[in-house]
Amino acid sequence: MSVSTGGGSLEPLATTDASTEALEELQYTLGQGPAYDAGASTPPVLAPDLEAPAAELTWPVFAPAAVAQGVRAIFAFPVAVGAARLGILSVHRRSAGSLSVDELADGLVCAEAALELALDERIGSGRHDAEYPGDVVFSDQKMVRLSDRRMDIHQASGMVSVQLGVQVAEALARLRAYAYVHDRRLVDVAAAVVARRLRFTSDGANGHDPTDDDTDPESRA
Amino acid sequence: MITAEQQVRRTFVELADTLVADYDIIAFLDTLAHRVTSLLDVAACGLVVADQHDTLNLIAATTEDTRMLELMQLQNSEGPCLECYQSGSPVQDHDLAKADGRWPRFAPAADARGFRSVHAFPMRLRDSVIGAMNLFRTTSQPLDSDRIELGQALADVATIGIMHARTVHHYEVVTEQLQLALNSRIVIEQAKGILVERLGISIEEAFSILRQHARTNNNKLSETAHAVVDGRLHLSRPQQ
Repeated sequence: MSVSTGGGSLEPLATTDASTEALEELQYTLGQGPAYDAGASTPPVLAPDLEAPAAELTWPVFAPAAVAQGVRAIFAFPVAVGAARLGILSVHRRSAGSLSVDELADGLVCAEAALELALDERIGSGRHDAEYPGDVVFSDQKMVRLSDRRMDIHQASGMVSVQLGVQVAEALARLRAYAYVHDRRLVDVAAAVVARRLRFTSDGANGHDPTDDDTDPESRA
Repeated sequence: MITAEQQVRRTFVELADTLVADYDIIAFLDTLAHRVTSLLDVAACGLVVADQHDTLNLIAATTEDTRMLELMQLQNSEGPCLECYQSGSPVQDHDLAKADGRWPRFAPAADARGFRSVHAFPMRLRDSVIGAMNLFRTTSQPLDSDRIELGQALADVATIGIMHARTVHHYEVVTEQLQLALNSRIVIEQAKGILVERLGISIEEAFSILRQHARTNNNKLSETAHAVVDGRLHLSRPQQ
């Protein structure tokens, strides 16, 4: 398994073994392969049989090269949220065969977990934000999970990206960090941003949200 | 004077026209939701689809009203959509004021927002269910059997829209299409947030600017939104 992150170009970040890393690098070198394609499109790219004619047509150089390395199937899951793509999580098999319904769902769940870790990583290692606890592990924090599935989280990411002049992924990371530091649910922080009760400012002050009370929308000046 | 039948026919023709190659899933569902409210004479319509967690995600709605969105969100723990999704059968209730035994959180919340009755139609794909279409009415009158039939037909059209009108033989394609639709929705929300903040406008206005720009330039809504998020496209307020 490997996760790749990066800005414009992708590179292997973590792999389970050296041959997997080589396989990942090969794709980015050739500009070809499921993980490469998953960087440009949104759904997972599923290649259950790299020896099938369809796979060879799609990836004429990569498919035979992967097969030569003993890899017959690759499934690449974008580590992404909306227009923000932080990387690709790909898994491979040494024999041909599709993922089962459950395996496919597991792949998506793992990609989402990778997304959350990648977002936290941005805050942990990024910039000069002393107020963020850089080495805190967020993974057990249910309150900042994206799987709350509220669309206003993404509206808020867009708003905060303008407020801070950063990409939406970083804006989302900042929202999550704010929720964590203030012991609030991500959905509530997002709702406060959308309702314009909370603004993020680049001087690190994070704006003002004097109240968590949804019944009091008049609290801003 | 347009008869109800003509209106139905026009809607199906309009929707079928949209289902050409490489069409815009979110714009299609958005149009569908709006037509549903007028054809079935309901106050609001929301469409939810299930993701890999079996969580219901709002994919299209006739209103940006956050109270309405909350009502849809609530339904991941209880409510007509969840029941409908789990059972695969239509669900209705015509007296939400008294439905707190059935839905202790959803019913009072819906009632407090002025809704008296709800319907949910399953979005069916052969023997599975991918989501549900939720209708809200401010009156406690039940829908008549013609409208119920039409409601289910429109929910089926929504399924076809998401599944890209092609024969889906495989769960992989179902998953891909659902992922594509859900992510398109997220991109649009991100773009709405950017426009709201940059132009000092409401979420509704942001959506209508996006939609207008996509239509005028014959682009997909999700692609227009993507360009806004990537900073490739700068939209301004429409001239008054």
